Amino acid sequence: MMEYKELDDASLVVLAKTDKGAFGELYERYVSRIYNYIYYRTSNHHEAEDLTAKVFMRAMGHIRAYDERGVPFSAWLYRIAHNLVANWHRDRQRRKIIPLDDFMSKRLRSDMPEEETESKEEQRHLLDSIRRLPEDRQQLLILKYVERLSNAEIGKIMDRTEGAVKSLYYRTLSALREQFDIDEAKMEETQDGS
Amino acid sequence: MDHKDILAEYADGLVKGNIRVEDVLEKYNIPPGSELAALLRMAALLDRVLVQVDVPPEFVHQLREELLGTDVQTLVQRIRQLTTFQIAAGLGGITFAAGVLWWARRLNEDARLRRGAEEPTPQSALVS
Repeated sequence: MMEYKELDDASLVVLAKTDKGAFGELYERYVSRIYNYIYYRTSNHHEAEDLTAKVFMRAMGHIRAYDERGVPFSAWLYRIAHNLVANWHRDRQRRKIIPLDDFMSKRLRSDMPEEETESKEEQRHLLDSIRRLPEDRQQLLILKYVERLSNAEIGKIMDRTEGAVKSLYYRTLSALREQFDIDEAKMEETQDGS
Repeated sequence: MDHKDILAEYADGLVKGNIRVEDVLEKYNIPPGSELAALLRMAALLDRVLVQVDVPPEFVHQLREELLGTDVQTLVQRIRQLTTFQIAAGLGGITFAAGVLWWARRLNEDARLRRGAEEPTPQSALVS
């Protein structure tokens, strides 16, 4: 019997054009990543489920026409997700606050040095600042820190060179720091006022 | 080394989980109060806050079913994956259930026949 788990993405894609089982293996490999990407872009679990379903429905519907040349399957999926999220933002023009409890991650563990643990308020504040960044910068930060991708992989998804991703990352960090400081000053003003 | 390169190197280290901001400050002799140090700390903060969320398992399962369905091919593959013991246990269970059903039906039939023999027929009632 065919062992899908042993095959790489490219081989699975070829099989998936006629074999649902191969598509199932690709689904298992990427469903969590695509869900996370969409969740951070929409800040809502319900929308993340809905749009993740659409990504895989669309991918399955177009897999016969997909040609791997230049764009790996994972990058193709992220591009579908990115387009759907962009449409979603355009259609609805809404930005919700991400529920903070979901960010109490495994990596914010109790053995972390005290100076490195942030308050919930600081985390909320950072997430708000990220949401004020332009779309491509938000995308870059999510791909880098949530999805843990290299600049080369991010470049394939965003259709930019590795050098361009590096420059965008630098500009993004500078802009985020500026935004973060502005938001922090406003927060302190509000606290002083109350 | 260019600031962009230092930040990129630090981000790669964070993704791999093997770097501390202090090590980078020391390696490149960066003043702790500088703009670059602030950006490195911002990157460290991002690494701690932007984390993977858990995907609901029932959603993953349900979407898989919607995408792939449970067609005959999948069913055959599932049966092939079962061990001989699992198949034997399954067949044994089906046989046992069929036996119990047959036995219960037989008992019911016998009881009905006995009741039929004991009850008076319309003709015998007329005679008495």
